[in-house]
Amino acid sequence: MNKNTFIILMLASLLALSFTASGEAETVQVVDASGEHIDVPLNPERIVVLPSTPIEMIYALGEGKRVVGRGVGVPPQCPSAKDLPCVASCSVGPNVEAILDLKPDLVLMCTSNGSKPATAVERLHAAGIPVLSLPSSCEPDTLLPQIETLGKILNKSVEANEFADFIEKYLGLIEERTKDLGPDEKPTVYFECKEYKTVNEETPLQHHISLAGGTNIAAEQPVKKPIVSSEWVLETNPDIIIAGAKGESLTEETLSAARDEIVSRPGLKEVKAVKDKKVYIISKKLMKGISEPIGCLYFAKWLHPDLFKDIDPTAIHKEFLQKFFGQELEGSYAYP
Amino acid sequence: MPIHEDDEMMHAEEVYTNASWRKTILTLVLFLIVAALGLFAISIGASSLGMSESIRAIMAVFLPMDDVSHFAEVVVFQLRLPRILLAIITGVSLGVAGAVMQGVLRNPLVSPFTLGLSSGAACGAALAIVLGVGILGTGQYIIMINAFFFSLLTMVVVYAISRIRGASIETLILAGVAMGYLFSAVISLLQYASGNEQLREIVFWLMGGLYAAKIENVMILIPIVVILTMILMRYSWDLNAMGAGEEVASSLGINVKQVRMACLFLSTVLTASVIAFTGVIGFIGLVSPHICRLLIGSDHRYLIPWSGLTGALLLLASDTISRTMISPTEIPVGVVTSFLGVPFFLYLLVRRKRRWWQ
Amino acid sequence: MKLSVKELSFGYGNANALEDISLDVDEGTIVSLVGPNGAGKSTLIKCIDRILKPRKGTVFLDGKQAAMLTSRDLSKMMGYVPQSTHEVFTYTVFDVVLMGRRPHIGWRVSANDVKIVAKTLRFLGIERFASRYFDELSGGEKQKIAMARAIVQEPEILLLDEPTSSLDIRHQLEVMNIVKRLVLQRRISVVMAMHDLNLASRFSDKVVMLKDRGIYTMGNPASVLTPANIENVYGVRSEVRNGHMDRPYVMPIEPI
Repeated sequence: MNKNTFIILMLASLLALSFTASGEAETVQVVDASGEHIDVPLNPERIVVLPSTPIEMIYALGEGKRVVGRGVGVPPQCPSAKDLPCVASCSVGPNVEAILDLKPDLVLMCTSNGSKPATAVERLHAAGIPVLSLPSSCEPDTLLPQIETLGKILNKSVEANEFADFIEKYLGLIEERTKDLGPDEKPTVYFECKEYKTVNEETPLQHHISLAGGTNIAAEQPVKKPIVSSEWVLETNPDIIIAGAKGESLTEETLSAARDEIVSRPGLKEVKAVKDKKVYIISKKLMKGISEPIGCLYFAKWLHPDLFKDIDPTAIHKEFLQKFFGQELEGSYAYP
Repeated sequence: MPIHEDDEMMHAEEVYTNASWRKTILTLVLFLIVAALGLFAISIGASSLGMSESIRAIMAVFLPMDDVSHFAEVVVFQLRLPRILLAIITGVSLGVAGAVMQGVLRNPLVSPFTLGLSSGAACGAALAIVLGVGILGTGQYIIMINAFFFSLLTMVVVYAISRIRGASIETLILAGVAMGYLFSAVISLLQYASGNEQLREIVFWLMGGLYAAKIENVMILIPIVVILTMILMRYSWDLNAMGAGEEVASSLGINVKQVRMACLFLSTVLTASVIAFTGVIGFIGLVSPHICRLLIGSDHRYLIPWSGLTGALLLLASDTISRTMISPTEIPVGVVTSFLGVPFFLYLLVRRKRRWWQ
Repeated sequence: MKLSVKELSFGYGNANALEDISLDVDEGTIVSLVGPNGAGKSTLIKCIDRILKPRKGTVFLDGKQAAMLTSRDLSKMMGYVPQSTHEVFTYTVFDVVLMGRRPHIGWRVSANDVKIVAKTLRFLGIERFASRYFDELSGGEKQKIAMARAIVQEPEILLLDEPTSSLDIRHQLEVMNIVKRLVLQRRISVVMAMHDLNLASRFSDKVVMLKDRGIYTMGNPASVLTPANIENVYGVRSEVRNGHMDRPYVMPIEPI
């Protein structure tokens, strides 16, 4: 008994020593999701990133090689991140042991990562691994501060600024052109995630729709992603219908098939949007993460073609991919 | 309310004939109640289309009427009608399948749920969602077909296992329960391993619902359900006899194993076809036969149609509440079914007032 | 109808439960199968009714092979009453008895079927229970109802598996009187498994004593129910006296 206790004590103090040693590395102060200022290591070599959006950001800053582990979601813009070990699951959350195995200098988590992230944070802290909680990437307003934070940590402020500027430019442009629209000038929008499943005002899509100068017909529903009555959609008679399409590599055919399905639905055939041919399909990849601003551009163009005559979302998307990810635009993301 | 003392003085023939008449009439009454509820359901909904307008739109089919708006026609015939028909047809098939399965296995706890059929279907759907092609249009059919065949597969496996040990009922039920757990484990695994998007879709399927009703689907289901129900009703006598035990049934000239296999497979096809379209809708298959046994007795000649109609009534009422209570947002129909059906069922259990048809 | 069993064997797995049984039941007679537990009485009854499929051997009905008949035709000739009836779902007495008409009806119940059931209920003196629930009744009443179900099959052979085993003496006699009346009025042949040697003696034309999967001896009650046979088959010392109507009366004394 005594011997064992002694060994454990010895090991514990050894561990403690090694952590104090690493604690001496240079740190940088950043703001976490709860608004607290915390110190994290500067220039970490091995980072485990559970949410997918920060992975995209790190890749965009040209530091993708530092990411050594990921969560479930594979960031759409970083195909190579697919091969990284996955150390968390949607339903259970981070796997602390697997994370420790990767010997990270820093773990980036998300407030919405799994059901019990708090326990994981405690355990990682106990193991001496610094953890930074980032705000859920589903909130569009948090994109820019996140980029800034990551720039700081990775010592890539110049690149971070450039990246942030690009995004800010277009988001600002949309806001600038739509902010003075009167209520009458805002078309009504019915957004569909899945057959008759829509979104209310507590979802990020609400931000897209209102930023693009539209009114979400289901904004006031009591459930975040409610299934709504088809006859209500028919009666509300939205000006525009936008539906999300999921899938790894979407082609124009699949998107057009999705559109045909909506247009031919008995409940929607009579709706203004269908009659005016204002039914659009957008890849879900453009509705989350770092590509969200591109999605907003499509929304804006569809809602107010006159105001955004000079804007070609596809071209901007292409530029965005080339400039920050060194990729070509492949497949279809929006239709028509 | 008739007085029971009269029974003593009447001859058994009269007692029986009167009871049969009452049961037949009550079956017709129940059918009319379902039809009336259907009419009521078709006239209410999330849009402002009121009852009178809806009824006029329906009447316009039979009588010449010019002032029915196009909107009313679309809402009533293209949106509400398929859904109400789907609710009825789903309720009927779950109720009938539940009654037949309980009768053929002589066990009051049996339902498509306990035999693992729902879990099988859900597992098939989840596999399609996670591994299959996930495009809006075509993906839907992959899920349905998968769900249907996994449900059938479950029954084949369960039956094959029970055949190894002489097709005893206990083995069959336990094999079903075990398969149910296995499939639930696979579903959990798929949920665990899948991304947010797929996870949500699986949960969605597990909740079930009728909102996606399409007239084409309903038209496929109606003949399936009507024909299978009629075939199963032809087994009423065999099911009654099997209630007295396998040996008695066998001595009454019934090929017990063959009847059991036929009934199980027919009712499996019946449930599998509807849950492929609606997702998992539990509870009705279990509780509808029980409600009917308390109300109409165990004679399968009446129990099967009653259980079907009660299932229809329960599901139609639940779905109507689910689409109108906080409209236009819909409440998952399974939630309403349980909130509505469980208290009613418990009330009947506690009162245990039998033979009210006499 | 005359029933003959020829060289019938039955087994589960490797073990035989019955070996080489041959016996004749003449029209309008009552044959009792007696013997210790596990001797194969119930099994033999089930084999005769094809509830269990014999491994070997044939059952003849008036010289015709029973195996050639469809199970529905067979059920019009033979009625079976199990040892005990347990209903999971409750039916009324009338419905339970009506099930016995199953071999004769398609889906619709004719007025004739209803009449036969009602007549049988009257015949057994249980008409007043017609609309009662089966599971509300006593053991004796249940036994009569189970018999009524077999009787409405209108069989020519009635197979009873220990019809009196759980009844009080009054019900035992009532049930046996019903059997007796059926035999007298309708010339039905009866095969019944019996534990009670004295009831077997009192009512049977022939007693078949089974031991170790085979027939030990058979014949009229007086020739079968002897102290020597009872000792050899049951391992019980007993006294046998002349009872009512010169039937042997068995008083078991002690196991040997």
